[in-house]
Amino acid sequence: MRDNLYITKYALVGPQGIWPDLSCEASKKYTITEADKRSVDYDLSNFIGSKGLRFHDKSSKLAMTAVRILLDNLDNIDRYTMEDLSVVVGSDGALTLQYQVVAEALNNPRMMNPRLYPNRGCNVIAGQISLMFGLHGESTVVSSGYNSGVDSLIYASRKCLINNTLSYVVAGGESIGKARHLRTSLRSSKDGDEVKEIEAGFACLVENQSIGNRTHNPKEWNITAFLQRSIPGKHIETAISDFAVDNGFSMEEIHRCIYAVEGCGWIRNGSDIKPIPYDIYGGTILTAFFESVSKPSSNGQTMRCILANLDRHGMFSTVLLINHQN
Amino acid sequence: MANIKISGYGAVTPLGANSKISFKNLLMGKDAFKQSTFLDLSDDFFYQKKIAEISEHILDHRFGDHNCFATVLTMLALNEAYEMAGSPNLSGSRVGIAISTLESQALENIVKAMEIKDDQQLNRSLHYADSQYCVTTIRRHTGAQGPSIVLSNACASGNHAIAAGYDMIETGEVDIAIVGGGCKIFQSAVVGFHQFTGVSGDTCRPFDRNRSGTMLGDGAGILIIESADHAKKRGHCPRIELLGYGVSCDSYDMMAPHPEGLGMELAMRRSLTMANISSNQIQYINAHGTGTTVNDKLESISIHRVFGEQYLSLPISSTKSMIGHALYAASALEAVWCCRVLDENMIPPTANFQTKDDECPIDCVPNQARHTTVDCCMNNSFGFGGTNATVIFRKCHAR
Repeated sequence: MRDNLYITKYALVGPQGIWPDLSCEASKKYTITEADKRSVDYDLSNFIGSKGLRFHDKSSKLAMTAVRILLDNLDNIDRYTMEDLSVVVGSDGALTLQYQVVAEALNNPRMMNPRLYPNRGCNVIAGQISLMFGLHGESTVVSSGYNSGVDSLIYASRKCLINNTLSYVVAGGESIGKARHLRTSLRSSKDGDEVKEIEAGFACLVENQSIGNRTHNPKEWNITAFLQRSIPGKHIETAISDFAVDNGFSMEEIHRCIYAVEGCGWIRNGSDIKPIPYDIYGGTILTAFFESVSKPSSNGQTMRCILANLDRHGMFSTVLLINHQN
Repeated sequence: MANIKISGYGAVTPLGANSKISFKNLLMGKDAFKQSTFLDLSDDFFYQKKIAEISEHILDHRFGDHNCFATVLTMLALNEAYEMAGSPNLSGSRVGIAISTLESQALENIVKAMEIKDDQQLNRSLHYADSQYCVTTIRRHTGAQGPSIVLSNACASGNHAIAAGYDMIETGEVDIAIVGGGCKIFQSAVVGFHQFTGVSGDTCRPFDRNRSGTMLGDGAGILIIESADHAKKRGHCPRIELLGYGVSCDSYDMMAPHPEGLGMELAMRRSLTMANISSNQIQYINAHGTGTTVNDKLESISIHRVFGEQYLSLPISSTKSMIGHALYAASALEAVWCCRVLDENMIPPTANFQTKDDECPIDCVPNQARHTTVDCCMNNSFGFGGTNATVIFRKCHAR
């Protein structure tokens, strides 16, 4: 059980808009993914400009936009210098341009644009985010397919536990296209076939309470526990229940559970279980979580939430988050 | 701060099927560059036809075939590390994995399969392109069930993986972590390196005035790191400890390093801070030392800033001059060489060195290995995207 790690801010970019949108009432804009629209067709350059983005994949731009919104909404950024701020992106790469680079390299090497080459590497999105925002902390990518989002949150949590002067931007972005569809077609089950693939980006800030002698805001989400473990053959709900019990809670004491097996996800509120109606590859669980907690609520109660992902290899990644004034 | 030991290490290179033979050949200054037999470099666009390749003879079919060459290399390196570590129990949830191995050629096979509409090849290649492929293979062979992570940080991936394993032990999640990575050089990397003239038409001459680029090479390096308490409990006495690491980002350009070496300097300084040692305790640096004009100059400058005038007499060598640049496995391999240096008190040379460069006035251990006591050393790695990682190792008895 940890009481010093927090998600202090978050931001979302989806087909229906952004969150938080300071230009209008947040309560009217919380649903950014649930409508029929699949792609983000508004102009991202309104947020991140267009200069220098010629060789950027749309997934990079979605993640960058989310980070831009996040950083713009940090009300106390002076507790950091940009040297301290690190980035971890959960991603298998800027998939569309990755395929384009490879195709150019194979078919017409003389014509391959060298400026496009960084898209061949999986770390391109993190590099582009650090570059755009002048961040000199770590810039890294965790590649674990559907688990990438939750894994990147766990990665940042470990770093901030070890060095309490660090703070991490956890981000991700997924565009839709053939390259992504190929990756997601690897699913071991066809259960998620009817779930629509959509585009989205997310970002959040993970920090240690001790940074800048910061006072903890009760609306922030405490990263109470996390676990990554191979659980071949075990049902995800059993694994979640075991995780809750290991951390001192019965499942009845977990108010919300957002979980997925590969691309097929669910949100459980008490005994009410609903499917997550979209698939954002590695970003599904974190997006669903941020979207759900962005909805206005004023009951003032402690809320416990478990996020979990199980991949086709039986790798289970999970986080317990607690908010004391939801 | 944790007390984390290197219980074992292993490497596979074109110079040898294990770290001992490879290192022996490195000490002799042998290079491994030969006409590529795996890749089609017949087009005259490819001005450099040589790669430091590991031949197919090394393939061990317990671990896979040519479709997952990088994973096989990683497993072979792990086998060596496992034996050196005293064959610890690697099964169960207290064993973590942090690696950088990817089957990059699978993406090329996917593109080819789509072009010729070969669904069978497409499905097979998609399987290997899964970023979790190597991790899953390691789990299957060891029974490890703890946290696992695949780090993608270009040429600094290996050191990032070592750092991630350190974190898993430090947070108390695991007792042992398998860290490092393997790489089989792939066609699109060779094209890319030719397009931005990162590869030399001559050979790799790090820190030489006439250096003209790097050479590419296959390889894998794996470390088994372990908490001191756990090693002690099972009666293993590691000789080396992992003191700390430093990571940073240039935030300057996706390809070119920061013009003042800012990110390189930050990574080195942060590693010294985490290791809680002063710069004068470092007695050897395995440089990133790609042999490109810009990298070597900036690495020299940033080392100067971190180490002061001591940098002129500090041995700093680049093993890439002999086995090439193994991309996302490079720093994992170089971490193994750092361990070998500590174990053998022998520093591998920078091969192919001919002409001193005033912009790189370091002691690059030119062409001849050096026998000297090294108690503490540093491994530098800097990658595309401006990502940098430095790791520090020390002999256990040198505390």
